[in-house]
Amino acid sequence: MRPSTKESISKGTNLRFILIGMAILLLGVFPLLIRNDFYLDGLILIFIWGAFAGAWNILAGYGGMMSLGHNAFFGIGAYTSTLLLLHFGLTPWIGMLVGGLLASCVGLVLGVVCFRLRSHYFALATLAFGEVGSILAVNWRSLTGGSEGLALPIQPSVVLFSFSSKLPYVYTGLFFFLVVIAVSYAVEHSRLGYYLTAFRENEDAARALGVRTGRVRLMAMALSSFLSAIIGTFYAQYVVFIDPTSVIRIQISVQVALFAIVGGIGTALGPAIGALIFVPITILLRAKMGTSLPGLHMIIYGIILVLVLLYMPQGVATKLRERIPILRRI
Amino acid sequence: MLLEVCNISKWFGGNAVLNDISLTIHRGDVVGLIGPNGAGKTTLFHVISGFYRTKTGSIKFDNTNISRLNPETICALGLCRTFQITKPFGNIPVIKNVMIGALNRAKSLKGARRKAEEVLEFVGLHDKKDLLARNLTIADRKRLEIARGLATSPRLLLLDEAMAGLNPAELQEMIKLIRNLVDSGITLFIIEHIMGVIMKLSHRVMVLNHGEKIAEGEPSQIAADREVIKAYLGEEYLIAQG
Repeated sequence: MRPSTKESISKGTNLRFILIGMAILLLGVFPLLIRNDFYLDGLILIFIWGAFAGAWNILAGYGGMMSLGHNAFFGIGAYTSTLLLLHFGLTPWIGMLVGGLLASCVGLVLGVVCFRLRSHYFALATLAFGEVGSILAVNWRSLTGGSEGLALPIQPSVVLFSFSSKLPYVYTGLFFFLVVIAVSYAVEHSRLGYYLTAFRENEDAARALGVRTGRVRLMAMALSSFLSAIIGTFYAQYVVFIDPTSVIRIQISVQVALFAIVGGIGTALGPAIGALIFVPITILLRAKMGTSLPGLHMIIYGIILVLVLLYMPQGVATKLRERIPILRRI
Repeated sequence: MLLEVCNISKWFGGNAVLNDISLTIHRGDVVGLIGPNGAGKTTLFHVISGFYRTKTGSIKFDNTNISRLNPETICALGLCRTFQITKPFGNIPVIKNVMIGALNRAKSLKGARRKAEEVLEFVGLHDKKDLLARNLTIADRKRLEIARGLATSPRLLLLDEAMAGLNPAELQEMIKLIRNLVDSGITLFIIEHIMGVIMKLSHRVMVLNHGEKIAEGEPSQIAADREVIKAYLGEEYLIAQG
């Protein structure tokens, strides 16, 4: 009995490493085969939204705290690094960490205030928080430039996190994408992940078993907001222009939540899969129909969303896992 | 002395749910807590385990004052309680449920898994360890409650009606499990409605009625106590008995 279980575990581990290695290799080589900037742009957006959805998932998926204020963290990341670059010439590589830490601090304050609230009420409170962030970005003109936005200098250099072609962005994007997945996986298989799940499932039971739910939730909030801000900086560096509509509008939070939910909330790969499915659909529909049939792409997008949620309420990742036995071993 | 509760009262609005309760539990004791519905038994567990606070009296666990501490800290000190209405972590496997309890002491997930396997074997849920907890029957959920509590390696375990709502066959299994618990030497404080069972299992029985402790003693004394009979069966019964 014992040796056979051990054997199957080690087999599972080997299989897991082989599959992960293959996936990373594929993702690494794939961009080299694409010569078209339009598709490379799509790939970068998949990485950005997949990573952001993954960051959101750490708090909302594992911990069950459905934040709708993550647009503020994304915006904090984008604005902090950009302002530090514009005013002090600080490289975005460091500005990114400053933005991340700032977002964590703001997240901790938000956590202390909002963690008294449960489920819908928590979502509503964070929604208000995100909206405040958005309003601040529009009205604090002396700092953010208001609705006119901020243009980033275009002077290709690795130090300034600015490149002349798409490919370097693809690989930095891939890097952040993989980092978020790896962090999610590590959280899922750690004490923190177990405790977050316990809180999500039943707070009283968790506390009775010695889970310090307050501390655990703050840790998840800090981690989630840190990663969101980092992705925000990357987005700013890629798009080289930021304004409240592009980096801090409330729809960003909703969109990220949708990606994660459709892909499979509370799983390490789910948010990535959600972005992988929906970002291309959005881009293609907008490109094909955006001008000829304006608005129709949103309707089709909505129909696909409804279908997925009707037939796979647990998300695509969970469904795939149920259907394809080999995936269950991962 | 493992647990020492002194002069605890708990009010909800104008109602005294617990009125000046004192009790002591020694290491290795198995103490039963009985009383009619609404007597305040579960409230007393809530107060001891830190889910409710009281301003009056004191609660000492192993010479530490725990009356101001929260449930998670109290659990870390070695006092764990189960819930009458089971609260499984429904969407995760049984083994993970128990591992979360085991992480209270275990240094690593691996250690927690080992402890959880051991506990699941003890309560007889080992063959269901990979099921999602929400798919368990009521009886198995009750077992899971006990398993999670045990996994925290408590020095005192508070069991809140582990036998309520079971059919006769399940009840026999549960009695066996609790008897095994008693034999393992763990200190237990048990709320139970089924008199025959609690009288056989406990070393000592306490009776609550309307938030007051009306009797305490060995099971045989309690069974003959006039106050207890009155509380359970009414005054008329006593008069009829002469």
